[in-house]
Amino acid sequence: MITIGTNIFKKISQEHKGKIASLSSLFVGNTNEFEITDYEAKAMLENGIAKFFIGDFPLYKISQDIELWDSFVELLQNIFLFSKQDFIGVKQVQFFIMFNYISTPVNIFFSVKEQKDLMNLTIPLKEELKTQVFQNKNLENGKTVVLGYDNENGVWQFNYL
Amino acid sequence: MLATSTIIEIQHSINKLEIGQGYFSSIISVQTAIFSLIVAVILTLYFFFNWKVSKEQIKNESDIRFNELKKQMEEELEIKTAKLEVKFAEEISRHENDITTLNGSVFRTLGEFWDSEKDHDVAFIWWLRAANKFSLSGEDKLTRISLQHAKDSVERVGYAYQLNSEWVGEYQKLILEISDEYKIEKELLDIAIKETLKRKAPTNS
Repeated sequence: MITIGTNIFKKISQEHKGKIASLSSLFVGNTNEFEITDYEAKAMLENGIAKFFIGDFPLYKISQDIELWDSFVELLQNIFLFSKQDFIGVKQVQFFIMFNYISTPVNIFFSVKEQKDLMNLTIPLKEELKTQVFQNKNLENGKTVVLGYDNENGVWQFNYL
Repeated sequence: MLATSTIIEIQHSINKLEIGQGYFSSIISVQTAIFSLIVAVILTLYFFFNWKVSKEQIKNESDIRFNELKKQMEEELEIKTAKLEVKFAEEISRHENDITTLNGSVFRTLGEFWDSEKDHDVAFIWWLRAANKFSLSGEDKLTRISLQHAKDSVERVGYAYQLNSEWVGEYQKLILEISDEYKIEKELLDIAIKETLKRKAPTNS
């Protein structure tokens, strides 16, 4: 089941939750295979950080299809906009995307302060996934991939743990 | 009569002699004047030529001395500048190291502070920033301690979800900059992060 967990679960309106569910169902076929849930990150909430965990989305399939990728980016944009609308005082929206590629856990981390930042980092993200993960011949069992966006230098950093 | 004519002839001769003497005297005077003029011109030319030669010689000599002195001073200045450059480079490097160490100490304090506030995801990045600065300034012991604390902070972060997404990219950049001299500490930190990434958050709903 694909999951979206957030520390601002109680703040997001039902309408926006429905919209997120509707967009997410595009990747699995129906809304029954999706859940949006409450994840605790109290300190972040107090610091004006809206945190979203996006778990088990089929990123390989999504990245192979332009329309699906655009829908995925649209989902991220909506999450960002809904956070801004429903969580007064939000300073930034943080994303943590986790999925398994074959048997390798892939962890993607980035944070967004303005909507344009999201576009700037999702365009290279697709290429990073392709070169560092999907075409990486060195992925081994038991290893973990970490992709983190370095805001200061505007580049994706790759770790293989 | 004869005596009178003799006297007259004598008188004539005297007159002729006086005229000749005057004439001769005039010629002598003119020649003396011309000679004096020639001598004066020669002396003037000689003096002028000597003066000009002397001036040229003095100028050349001065130029040679000046160039020698200039070259000598340039060489001395170059040696002094090189010495100063080395000295300043050492001083600047020492001060840069001091500043980098100071930065590391400030970051370390922030790491301690956020750990005491139980914000371990925030403490983690400050410990790592401290480790990065200490490694750059060659503070071996402090680098190892900071990396150890970064590992401890990550281990205290409850779930992968609670890792601060804003700083994961920075952590990856900083860890690359830290020398492989601290390979063991870096590997232990990698293991701690990997373990944290495995911890999934329980849902509240």
